[in-house]
Amino acid sequence: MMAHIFSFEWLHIRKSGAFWGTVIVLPLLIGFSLFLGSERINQQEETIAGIVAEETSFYDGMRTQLEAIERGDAEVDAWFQNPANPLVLGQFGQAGRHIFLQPKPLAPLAAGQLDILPYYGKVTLTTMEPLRDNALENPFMQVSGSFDFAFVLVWLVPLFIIVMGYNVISSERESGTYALLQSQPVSIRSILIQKMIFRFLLVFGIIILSLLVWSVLFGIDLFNIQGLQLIAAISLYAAFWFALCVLFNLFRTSSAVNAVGLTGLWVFFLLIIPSVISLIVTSLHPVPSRALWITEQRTIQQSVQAEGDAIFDTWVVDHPEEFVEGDTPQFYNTWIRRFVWAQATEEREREAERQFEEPRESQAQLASRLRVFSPPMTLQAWLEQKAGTDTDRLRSLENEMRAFQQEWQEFFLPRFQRLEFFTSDELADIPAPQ
Amino acid sequence: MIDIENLTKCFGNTVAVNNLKLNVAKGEIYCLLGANGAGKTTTINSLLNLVQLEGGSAKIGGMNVADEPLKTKEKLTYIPENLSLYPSLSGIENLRFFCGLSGIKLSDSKAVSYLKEAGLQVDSAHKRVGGYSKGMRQKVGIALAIARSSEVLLLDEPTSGLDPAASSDFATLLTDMKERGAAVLMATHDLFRAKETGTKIGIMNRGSLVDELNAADVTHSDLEKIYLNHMRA
Repeated sequence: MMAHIFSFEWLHIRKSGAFWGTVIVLPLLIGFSLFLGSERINQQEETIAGIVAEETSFYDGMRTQLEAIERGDAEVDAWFQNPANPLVLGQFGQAGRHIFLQPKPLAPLAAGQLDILPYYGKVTLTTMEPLRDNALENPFMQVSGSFDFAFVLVWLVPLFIIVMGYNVISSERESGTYALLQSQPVSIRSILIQKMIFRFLLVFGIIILSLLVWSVLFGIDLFNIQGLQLIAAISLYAAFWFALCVLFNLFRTSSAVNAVGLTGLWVFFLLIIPSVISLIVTSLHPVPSRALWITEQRTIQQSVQAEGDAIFDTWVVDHPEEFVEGDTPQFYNTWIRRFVWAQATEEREREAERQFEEPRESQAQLASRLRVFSPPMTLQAWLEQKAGTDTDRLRSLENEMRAFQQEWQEFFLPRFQRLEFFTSDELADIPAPQ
Repeated sequence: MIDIENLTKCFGNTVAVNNLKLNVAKGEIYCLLGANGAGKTTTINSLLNLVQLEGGSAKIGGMNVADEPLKTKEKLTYIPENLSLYPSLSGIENLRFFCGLSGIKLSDSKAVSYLKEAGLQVDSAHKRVGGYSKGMRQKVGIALAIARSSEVLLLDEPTSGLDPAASSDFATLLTDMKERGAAVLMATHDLFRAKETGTKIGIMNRGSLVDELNAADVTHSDLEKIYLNHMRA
């Protein structure tokens, strides 16, 4: 019976505009979103490769220059030109290392929070600077915005499903064929379910086929466990929307009522629930404003500045082995103080940051729990997590930068504090991120 | 073949069918006459198990339709007043679909032969049903009954709106079905067609069967008088 209803549905549906609209438009949207996604990732990879090449070139240049100095083929006049100086190698100009969050294999599928949070940043002895592709470096980001596969799947696919499923039985009532169906030796509910299953398989097939074909063309690897998980997630999401269509068709409502009702549910799940969740989390866990945080930072910087000499004197008392007394170069006296002040500033900022971070964490945890009420939000979050573009991963950049900065400081600061310069052989040991 | 015993159906406080008793044997065309709201359609709907009865029973082939709704539907073909088919499909495709729901697989050529048997021209059979007249659609319904070898035919005012020639063609098809041994129950307003085609005529008024006649025993004018007397009573 199922094969019979499927073959009839196929005969029936291929004469409908809704079917051809879905067959033509949906694969194009999926293809376009994957094209934009793969371009975005290509740009990221180019950015990363470019920065790595610049870094390598800088440190190779330093080493070559130092070797020339050691051979007596070259000389330096000023301390800041000396490639053996820890400050030159760890702090100034191009010195420092970039930390990257490498794109995950499914990164082309979801831009996620990439337009808000950076995926790389630069670390020096005193700075941790998150960076982002700007319009000049990567104009593509400006063009594509956030149109990605996740958007097509979460926002647009339900509309195609509604178009394909809103009137499966109501149209039978309206056209009069329902009366004849009721007189058949098959339950009307069984016919409805089988028709819906066929349409579900059709839409699901179009999505999966398009996804696989375009992925192969754009070099996105989906033939792995993550690809299977993605297919399972898509099937569950499509089934959710088809189930809503079935529900509406079970009521004896008109096609118009079904269409309006299902569109209303689309608005409810995709717009209203997220807004309500946002309202709840911001009401329960309010985060102080950004302006307040900037003011706080300035206050801390001013206080460190005001207490500068006292802070340094205390540090000298506490760390006598890390400080060379006597007739030391001017740059040493200046920078040893700056490092101490930078450390003091950071310690105070981290303390103050907690009052901003804790509510933000609470917000994220509550939002994560409330997301279960909206399958679209749940899927969006899952896709971003799989793509590695979710807030948690992008925020982990800061931790990675902090961890690397510690490694960087541990390598350079003791040398600087002891006023020990590098040899060209030692430059090979300069830390690099994994 | 069709046995209705003490059937009672109410819609709120309105009694649509009151203690109706009616039997249609194989090879019999039973025409059910009555004004609008007399209970004819409710009687047919009760045989399709589309309404819940307050009392009595409706049986087809000895099976209670309420107990065996799908099995009883295997034995019957229902043609409503306005038979609606899938307009984007051809007569052949429609016939194949509805036969398939009964588990009967038809080839295109077999479907064409059934449609031809029901009086539909071969070139029309290949055309989209959207362009069919009501008479042509009724012929697809009859073709469905032929293809399924239905033992029972339930017709709800099938000739209303048909021109005299189409109505006559339809009556011929019903006679063919009768000769094949089908039990036909037809609700109609058409006294002439009831007398010409029917073997038995029942007159319903306000939900009750008020008279039952053998079609052969009455003339057209007698039937009209009897009918009007009941309606004015």
